[in-house]
Amino acid sequence: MFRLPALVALTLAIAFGGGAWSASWMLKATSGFGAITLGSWSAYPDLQTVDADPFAKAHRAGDGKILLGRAEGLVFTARSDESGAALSGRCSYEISGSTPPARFWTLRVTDADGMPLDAPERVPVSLNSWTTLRNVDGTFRIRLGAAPEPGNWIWLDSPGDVGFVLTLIDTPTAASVSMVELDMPKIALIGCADA
Amino acid sequence: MRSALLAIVIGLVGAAIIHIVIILALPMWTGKDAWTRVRMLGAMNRFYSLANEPNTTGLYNEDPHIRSAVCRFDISDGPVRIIASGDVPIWTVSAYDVSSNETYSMNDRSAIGTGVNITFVTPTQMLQLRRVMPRALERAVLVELGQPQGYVVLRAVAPTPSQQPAARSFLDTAVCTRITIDPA
Repeated sequence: MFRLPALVALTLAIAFGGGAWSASWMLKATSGFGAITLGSWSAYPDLQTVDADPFAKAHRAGDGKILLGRAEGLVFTARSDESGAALSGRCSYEISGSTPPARFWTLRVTDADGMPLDAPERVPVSLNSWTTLRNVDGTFRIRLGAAPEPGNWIWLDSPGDVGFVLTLIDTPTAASVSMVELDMPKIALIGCADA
Repeated sequence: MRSALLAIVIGLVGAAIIHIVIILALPMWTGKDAWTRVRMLGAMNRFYSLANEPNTTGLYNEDPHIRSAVCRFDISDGPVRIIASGDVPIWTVSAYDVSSNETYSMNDRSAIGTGVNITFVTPTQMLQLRRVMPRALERAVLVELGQPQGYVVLRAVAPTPSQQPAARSFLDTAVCTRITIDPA
């Protein structure tokens, strides 16, 4: 007697429950397609455009950030070192090599949610292409850690995972066809503080 | 048994449809997308310089070396002109529509002269301007926008602390004003 209502209820439960669950799972699992990955670094050249895929647009609207336009630059984010281990705020790292061609670049550290770290005053929390010391061949070596070091140093001492953000300003990288051939700096783990 | 199977299949098809609807509709309902935050900043046609620290507006300069200012505009009643000049090593500008899709972007390399001089117009206004170009707009970059509403972001790069004041004044003196064109 209650067979039909029960079947209708089952259908609706699967439709709404399954639809909502799969949508939220998809949004958690992926931050959108169209990412380019170079070693540890990844970027979304089309994120701010109308061509971004629906998942990327949903994330974009949730983050509510003002993104860089195509002529402005491209943002690369790294969440793991070259061995694939997640970047930890309790470890020290060395970023070395060179960046893709750009008129200006900056390197900064964020927490796992992409927010700036709570740094004590007067410690360097970011570097840029003007303030970074270079080797003779134009490459650089940047140390990140809790203890100050000579040369290029960025303060890094935070509980939890961190991310490194490399912002390239006015770069042909976004339009580059052969993305794979671009040089990105390498992220090497130096050591971790004992927990 | 067969009707139960049918109910599950219909349920799965419904789930797929609802999945798609949620993903597509989400950008309109987050309540914290960039356009909503820009609208909360305040009035139209003026630049708001963003703070360097995270704050209640939700908008801030993520990069301490790159300062930015935002202006919301509506060109349905007349073009909007963006002017800025100053001694900054690099500046960039980009415009977005209400869904935060990029509509235009440029940087100081591609500019005529040294400062920012851009005018956003609708297709109709563009036709009017083509007939009689006002002297003031002769050197401006004319950008035709499909949607009348949107926001424009101006960024100034300050690589060293000593360049911060110049970047700040570049953004503080930036103009984002509505102009009228004579219907000649």
